[in-house]
Amino acid sequence: MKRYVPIIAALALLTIAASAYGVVFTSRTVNMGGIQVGELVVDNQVPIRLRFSAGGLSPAERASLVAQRLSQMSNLSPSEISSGRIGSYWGVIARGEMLITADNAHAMVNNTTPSGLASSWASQLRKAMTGTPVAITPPTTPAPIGRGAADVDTAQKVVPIISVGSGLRIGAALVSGSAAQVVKVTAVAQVEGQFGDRVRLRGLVPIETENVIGNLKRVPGTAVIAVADVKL
Amino acid sequence: MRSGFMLMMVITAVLLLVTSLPTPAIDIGDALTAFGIGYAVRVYGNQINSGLNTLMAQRGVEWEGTTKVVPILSIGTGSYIGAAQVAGPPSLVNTVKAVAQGETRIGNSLRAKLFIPVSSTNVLKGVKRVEGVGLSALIDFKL
Repeated sequence: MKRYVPIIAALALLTIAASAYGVVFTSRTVNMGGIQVGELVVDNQVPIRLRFSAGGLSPAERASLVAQRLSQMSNLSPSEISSGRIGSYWGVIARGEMLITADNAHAMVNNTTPSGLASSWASQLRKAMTGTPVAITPPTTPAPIGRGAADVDTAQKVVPIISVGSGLRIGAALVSGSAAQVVKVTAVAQVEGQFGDRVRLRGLVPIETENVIGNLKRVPGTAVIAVADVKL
Repeated sequence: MRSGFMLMMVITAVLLLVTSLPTPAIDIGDALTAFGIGYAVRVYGNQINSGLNTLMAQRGVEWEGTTKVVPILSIGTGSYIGAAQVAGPPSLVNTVKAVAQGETRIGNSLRAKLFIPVSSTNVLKGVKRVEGVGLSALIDFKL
């Protein structure tokens, strides 16, 4: 039991330090349309919601890291929160330390630039710390192809890209569309072709099965919005 | 008189020969080399689009709605870095001018690229997303 005393004491000190300004920073993971979203929670408000991984960390891990960094800054006041650039990255800064990077992926789905997103996140965080209600705008996703954009639950999913020629998995794709249709997608088939000598064509088709040898069965109402490849 | 007639015959023969030769059309490789990706997409975009649609139809996975080939612009530099085919309802696809590409690295070995159909080719001033349009194909150019 004695060996746990320092740990408990450290945790208690951390909690006291964090709550010195009367603000408690935590994080949580929420399932939104089939994907895991990380949320920074400040006194029951959500100033920052993360949907994409970055720096090898999942959205939940990123949110947890931000909460941890904020908790470790004793007597942190809202005026110490700002947006800025450290090196080549825009982000939210507290006491000269980068709390979170405003990455391109989040900037684009919010229809803004990394600097704009950093400014928005910093503003939301300051408001949440002062108890002002924050209204976080959910990131937009493309509406399903061929249908109206209104009143449709959208979702995103990461699936493997399979080459139709070789049957090999050659990367990963983020597929977006109506939630009901995205659930059906198990892979993206890459159909390859050539146009002249110097143009390579790669058709990307969300499909229902990973079997690309037989007939491909497209999942309508879905499309690829991002691809990832591994450096071998 | 006779020499004048001969000269006229020679000129006529040369003219006939020149006009009957096939005109050397600029191909996409030359267009890429000389004028870059933006020009090549503008000139050959419709042909590439038809080629892609034929390729997909052969596999039985042609798109519903309209498709269009547009340039891919780097969101960081605004430069032309490739081309993409977008698909969706005709009224929306017609407003797409380019696809903005953002790139992020996850760890040391994973690279993720995000593609957003946009209504302006000036992505440095902001990304104006066209909702309801999706990416259907990527087109790589060998420069």
